[in-house]
Amino acid sequence: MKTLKQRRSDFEVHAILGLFPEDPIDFDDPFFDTFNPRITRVTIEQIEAQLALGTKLNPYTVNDQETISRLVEIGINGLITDFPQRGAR
Amino acid sequence: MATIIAHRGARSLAPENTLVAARKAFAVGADMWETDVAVTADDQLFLMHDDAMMRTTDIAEMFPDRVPAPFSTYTLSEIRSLDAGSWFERDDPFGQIAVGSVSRSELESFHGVKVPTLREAFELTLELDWFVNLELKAQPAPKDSFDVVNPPSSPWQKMWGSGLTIFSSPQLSMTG
Repeated sequence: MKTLKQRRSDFEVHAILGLFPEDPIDFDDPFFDTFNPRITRVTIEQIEAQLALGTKLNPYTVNDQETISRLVEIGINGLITDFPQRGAR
Repeated sequence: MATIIAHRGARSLAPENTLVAARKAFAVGADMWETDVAVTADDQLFLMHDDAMMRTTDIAEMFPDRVPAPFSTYTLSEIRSLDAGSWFERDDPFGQIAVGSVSRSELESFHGVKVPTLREAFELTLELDWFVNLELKAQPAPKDSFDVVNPPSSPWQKMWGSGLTIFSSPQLSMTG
């Protein structure tokens, strides 16, 4: 990924956070443009706090309509879902 | 507005990581699709999530003596011989067939769909003037001889020259 970013700085590089249960949820690594945290590992309050700091977030995997609507409401950058039909405008 | 990213395509409505799932995601209004990039034994890039490929293909019937060997032990032509769509109607993984969200004609169109190459995924994304987010699989171990920026026999260069932005979502372990 380092090679890719050096040679193609126009690509966005995202970090997947919480892929494995023991993985830390760390939003601090400046290598990444966007952070994709597992939604079950973060609270809405943590997400709001990161957004307020200017961190770009695309949580995964967000499937229930209520959570999708809530995240959109608080200004989430993006979300990864198995139900894109629920997020469509 | 939030970017709606369809996980492996519209995987509640069509077989994940196939071109029909990507097209479905586009049709229902997703802003982007996410997919998983895997590599074959002969260094070809294709789309697959699970290492053993049994959940989303008929590999257990096609190669009963080899499962659950990981995808990286199969050639592209072997992987292209698989049916990556029929399982969807059998398993209805998100219960969306049961509630009537998938039509009979759509279900019929899923039978026999092939595992896509990364090139096909890029071509479709370009055709739709759309975006894709690539997750790089951690398996197999990084190959010293494999150029991650311009991998062998890949369409990366064409895609990169197109002016589209490709989003890459690496696992942290992938340092290429």
